[in-house]
Order: sequence, then C-alpha cells, then structure tokens
Amino acid sequence: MSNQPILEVKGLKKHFSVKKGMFGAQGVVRAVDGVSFSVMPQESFAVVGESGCGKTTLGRLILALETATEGSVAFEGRDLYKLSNAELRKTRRDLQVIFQDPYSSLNPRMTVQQIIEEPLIIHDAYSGPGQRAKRIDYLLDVCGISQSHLTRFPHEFSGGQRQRVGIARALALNPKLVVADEPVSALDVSIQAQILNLLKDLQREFKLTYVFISHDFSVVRHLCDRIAVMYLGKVVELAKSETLFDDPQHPYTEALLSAVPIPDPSIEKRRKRILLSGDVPSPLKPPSGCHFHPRCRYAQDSCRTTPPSLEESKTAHWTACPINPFKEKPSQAALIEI
Amino acid sequence: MKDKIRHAWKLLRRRPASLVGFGLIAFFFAVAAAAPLIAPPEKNSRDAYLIPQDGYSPDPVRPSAKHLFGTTEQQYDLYYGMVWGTRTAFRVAVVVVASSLTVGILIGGAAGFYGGWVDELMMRFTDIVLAFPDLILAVVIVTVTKPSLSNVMLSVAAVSWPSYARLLRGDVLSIKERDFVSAARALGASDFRILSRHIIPNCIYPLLVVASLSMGRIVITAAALSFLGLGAPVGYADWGQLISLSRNWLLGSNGNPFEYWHTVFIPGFAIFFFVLGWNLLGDAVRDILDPRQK
Ligand SMILES: Nc1ncnc2c1ncn2[C@@H]1O[C@H](COP(=O)(O)OP(=O)(O)OP(=O)(O)O)[C@@H](O)[C@H]1O
Ligand SMILES: [Mg+2]
Repeated sequence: MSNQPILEVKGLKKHFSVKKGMFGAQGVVRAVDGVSFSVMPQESFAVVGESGCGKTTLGRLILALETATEGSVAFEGRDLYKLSNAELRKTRRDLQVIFQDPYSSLNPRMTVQQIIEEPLIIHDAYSGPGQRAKRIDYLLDVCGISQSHLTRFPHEFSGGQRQRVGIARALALNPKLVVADEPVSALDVSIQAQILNLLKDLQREFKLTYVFISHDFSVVRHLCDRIAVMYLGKVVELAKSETLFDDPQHPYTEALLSAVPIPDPSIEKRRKRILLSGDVPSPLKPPSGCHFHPRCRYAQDSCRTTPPSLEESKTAHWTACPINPFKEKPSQAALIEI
Repeated sequence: MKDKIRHAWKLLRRRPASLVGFGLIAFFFAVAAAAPLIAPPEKNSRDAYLIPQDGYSPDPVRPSAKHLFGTTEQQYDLYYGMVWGTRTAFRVAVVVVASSLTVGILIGGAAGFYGGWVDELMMRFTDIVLAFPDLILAVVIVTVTKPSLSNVMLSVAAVSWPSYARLLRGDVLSIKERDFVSAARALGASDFRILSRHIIPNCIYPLLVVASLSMGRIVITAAALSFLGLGAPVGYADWGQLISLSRNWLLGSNGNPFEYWHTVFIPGFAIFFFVLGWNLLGDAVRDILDPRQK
C-alpha cells in the first residue's frame, strides 16, 4: 500500500430542498452534512448506518453522480467536481458502482451481453479483434455467470444472478475504486454469503479499493478494514474494523453493535441488546446539539446544545462524542451480562 | 425472431378483439396493396389517385354491375375511389404518426431528461398547442398554408405531437431515476447514449400503443378537413373527400331518404372500420410489446 489516499472526501455536504406540507413550504434535508474521510488504495472502507442516514447520497457524491452542496471529493488527488465533462467521463473508468437493487440496476431492454459490453464500447477499450469477446468471457468466468446467459434478458434471472451481471459490468474496465451500495441487502440470506465471498475474491483479483455501504455490521465485519458509522448525515465514529467491534466509543455504535448476533452460540445466548428508543428523527428537523441525544442513554444537558465534532479519542479511532462514556470499559465483553 | 412472432401470435389469439382489429387492418392493407389489380387505373390516366368520371351528371347513381359501389355526384366511381383511398388513408396515418412521434420524442425526451428551464420552456409551448381544440388549430394551419393533402398531413401532425411529448416526458422523468441510468452515467456514457439506449427504449412502448390508437383518430381528423374542402383536390381518391361529395345527398330525395345511401354509408363505414381496427390493434400492441408478459 502506498500512503497516498486514493479517495479523499472533505467537508462533503448535500442538502436537498423539499416541499413540506400542502402549501409547499420549503424544507431542507441535510442528507450528507459535513463528511470527511480518506481511503487508501486496496482498502475496504465501510460506511454503516440506519436507513435514511445519507449513505446512498454519500455514495453518489463520491461517484460524482450528484453535485455537492459543499466540499470536495478527490480521486487520486484530483477534485472530481473541478474536472471538465470530458475529463470526468474519462476518469469514470476507474470509479465504478454496484447498486443495491439488482432489479432496477440492469436495463430491462438489454441482453446480458449488451450490458457487460457497454462499458467497453463507451471507452473504446479492448477494441482489437476478438479482444472484447475474450474480455467478456473472462468477466463471466470470474463473476460466475454462465456463458449461456449472454443472450438472455435480466428479467429471466434471480436477484443473485442479476447482481453478478451488475458486478461484471462494474469490473469490465478494471476500475480502481468500487462503491458498493448495499450490494447484498436485497438478496436472500443464502445468496448473500456467495456474493460477499465473490466481492472478496474480486478485490484480490482486481486489486480493488472498496467503499462498502451497508446498514448491517455483520455484513461488513469480515470484508472491511475500516468502518465509518453514520447518523443523520454525519460520521459519528470511524475506526479500524476490529477496534470498532471490540471497543466502540460512540453510544450509537454501541447500540448498533449490540444488535449484531455473535457467531459463538454460548456467548450469543448472553448477548445483551441495547434497544434504541424511538425512531430515527426526521432529517428535515434533526434534533439540536448532538443529533443522537434524544435516543442516547448517556445524554447530558450539554448534548442538547453543543454539536459534537469528530475527535481522535484513541489512536486512529475517531469519535463524535465528548461525553465518552466508555473510557472505563475497554472491551465488548462488558456488554455481555454474565 | 421466430419465437417472438410465435409469441405475438399466441397473445393475439388469446384476445379475440385484437384478432378482429388485426383482421380489419390486414384487410385494408391487402386492399391498399392490391389496388392496381382490383381497381386498375385507366390507360391514359396521369395519376392513379384521380378517380375516373363517367359523365358529368350532378346526381349520384346507385350501385350497378358497371359501378360496383355506384357513383357520387359528378359521376366519380365510388369503388375506385374507395380502393385507392385506402392507400391515401394509410399514407396519411403513417406519415402523420411518424412525424408527430419524432417531434414528440425530441421535445418530450429533452424536457424530461434535462429538466429545469428546458423542461419549463418546452412544456409551456406544448400546453399552448394543447389549449387549442385540435380541429380548429388544424383548420387554421391548412387555411394559412393553402389546402392540399400534404398540408393536411402537416397540420394534423402539428396538433398530434403534444400528447406524445407529454406522455414521454412523464415516463422519462421516472425512468431517469432508475439505477441502470445512474450505472450508465457512472460508466461515462454520453447524454445521447443514455437517452437513446437506456431511457427511450424503456418508455417508447406506451408511446407506440398510443400511436397505434391514434392512427384512427388521425384519419378522422384528416377526413374532417377533406370534408370541409381543405384537403385533396376534387376527384382525388380520399375517403374524406368522398364523404364530402355526398354532402348534398345526405337526406336522399323527397319521400325516399335512403335514395343515395351508398354515397354516405360506404366511405363512412370504411372510416369507421379503419378506426376500429387501429383501436383494437393498439390494445394488442401493448400486450405484445410488454416483455414481462411471457
Ligand atoms: N433527490 C432527493 N431529494 C430529496 N431528498 C432526498 C433525495 N435523495 C435522498 N433524499 C433524502 O436524503 C436522506 C438520505 O437518503 P439516502 O438515500 O442517502 O439514505 P440511505 O442511508 O441510503 O438510506 P437507505 O438505507 O434507505 O438506502 C433521506 O431522508 C432521503 O429522503
Ligand atoms: Mg441507500
């Protein structure tokens, strides 16, 4: 690994203005509200959070599919938002995406062959005689798609097979960075593991960097090196995968982790769940101060007024919680009642 | 391909109504195609679409062996006019549908895809055109451009595109939010490619259904213009024109209201069945083109 980040997100914000109520009063949804992090080459970086916290929007911002309200996204040192249209389209070769919903991510009017070939056509890649067919063969092979599927249409396939086609399309041009937006959450549990293993193998084969978006810690646990936890448009905690699981520093992370089943059944039986009270607040009217305070069991008066900032609470472990209630509890064992 | 045709046939058979539509249009098509055989033009005629006249008497003559469908006023042969008029009907319908679809796709597609001020501008223009009653606007356009068959087509096309534009815009708005469009954009596809490969193919089918349904309406509007004397020149094989030749004979003669029935009913029914055929076929087209109906 070199020590130049491949992706650098700085102060990224995306605010949507939406109409509220019958009379069309304008409201602002702060879908992404000041997110910064950087990702190293060939790293797997996870973004985890509940539904509606802005993960998809963040992914689309990284891919420059959405324009940012504020902030920048630098890919290999170049700010994507400052590139000309032509430059941006060229850069997109290296920057690919896998979508959550395999039913909406494949054009129903195109055959599998057309879908996988399209990136090669757009960038005029592998254009020598026979090279495209060879490339497609290779992609089918590594993604586990049968040759006989080439002439068929997406609606003839199951979710898992479709997702493989989507992955083959994303990898067609040998990208460097892949944003995977909940790539398994729409699939049957039995298929999820297959696709996750495939993504893991492909990362080695293609030397990929992943930004892996998920709402489920158990999905990212084995795949990702670092994890950022998001709540209402902000990153509340960012740490290495193992340290985050062993020693969560933010009450929100603690609560989310307590809901993750533990593989060892004897420990699993004694797992204590911390129930989050209430729903995720409306992003149109987020709570004052720390957005998490109404659901936080450690909340103090100051949390209602002062918005926390992301601070390095331990080495390479960043937390947006000045209360820091876990100073005395170094391991997850503390969460298990004996 | 073979599979597709077999599949289309299976769907057609499942719905007797669309089979009737298919039969009607196939019949009219056969008549149009065989026109030179079943109604051969006279040797010295300079344009096969000009209906031969048998004398100049103003009163229509009833069907006879010599004139299968009788004659209209001025002794135009109704059978000949009906057969060649079928070709005119197809030509008007196809030309108008093709040109108004093209304009509708360009305007509706651009409005939905680009949004913002492009959308605003194009849709307000569409609203203005839609605000006029079809027939009146068409009459104005033909009158300004001088009556002729091609100006009839122009004017009917000019009033037909807004409904396509509107329909397409709505579909484009919803399709462009789908992930496969984002995927194409993330691959670096150009706007043109995204529109032509990803968006339009996914919203064109409702448009084609509406187009085949409107084939009939177009023929009616064109016939109405001809009836008003704004279409083809007198004596040209055109159903609307033939009805307009019956204008003075609608009530028959004293004591015999049906004396000249053939001048009204024959072209009238032809238009009726032509329109019915397209309407029934439009429903069938929808079923066949929907790929999920397998
Ligand atoms: N185009 C848009 N216009 C207005 N609001 C939007 C738009 N896109 C997203 N939002 C809002 O922004 C917030 C974040 O949405 P986003 O889709 O990024 O969340 P998410 O974390 O991906 O959720 P999920 O788990 O449901 O996919 C939501 O409240 C959503 O309603
Ligand atoms: Mg999402």
